[in-house]
Amino acid sequence: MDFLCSDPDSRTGVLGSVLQIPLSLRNAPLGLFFTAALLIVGAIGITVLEIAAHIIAAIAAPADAMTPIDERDRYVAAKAKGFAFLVLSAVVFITIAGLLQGMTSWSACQALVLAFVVGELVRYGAEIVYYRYGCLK
Amino acid sequence: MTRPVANQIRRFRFERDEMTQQELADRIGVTRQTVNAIELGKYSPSLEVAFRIALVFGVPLEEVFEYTGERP
Repeated sequence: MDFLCSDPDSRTGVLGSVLQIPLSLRNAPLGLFFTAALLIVGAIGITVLEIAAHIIAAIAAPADAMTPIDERDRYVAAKAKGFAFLVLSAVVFITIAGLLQGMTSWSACQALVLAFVVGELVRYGAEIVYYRYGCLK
Repeated sequence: MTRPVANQIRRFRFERDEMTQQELADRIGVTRQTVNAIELGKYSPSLEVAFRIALVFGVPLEEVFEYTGERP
């Protein structure tokens, strides 16, 4: 897991831009506080990115943005979330295994934030596939 | 991906003065994209939507949809 930036002093990790704020807290006396701040800021960062993406999509296609969702949209979203949950769970369990094998807590934090990002990417990717190629029950 | 349910929506729309997908979608309460997906066999609608489609065309459900999969 070296690619996840195992050096706590480095600000150039894979998710460095999301983690800038909690990095300033790395000297906090409570490691748990630092870890929680890391995950919270990561989640907020992803949420902000999603809101920005929705705004851009709405501007690009205003008619589609105004269309209310129907049963097919709900079905596609549910199936895509199922895939995303599998990926998220897999990364979390791999991280737990990594911790048991000596992975640093810093790398574990990076891996967990990365899990959220990858999970969301899988969700959007699955939605595209289902919309493009169909989603038979 | 198998498509166990065939449908005659395109034909019924044609016979109803070329009813557009948007018109049908508005009457059954789904999006035009969903009507298109149903027509192309990319999505199997719920029973409720299937009945609404049959009601719009004024025909029994089995005239619009046909099960072509394996017999249970």
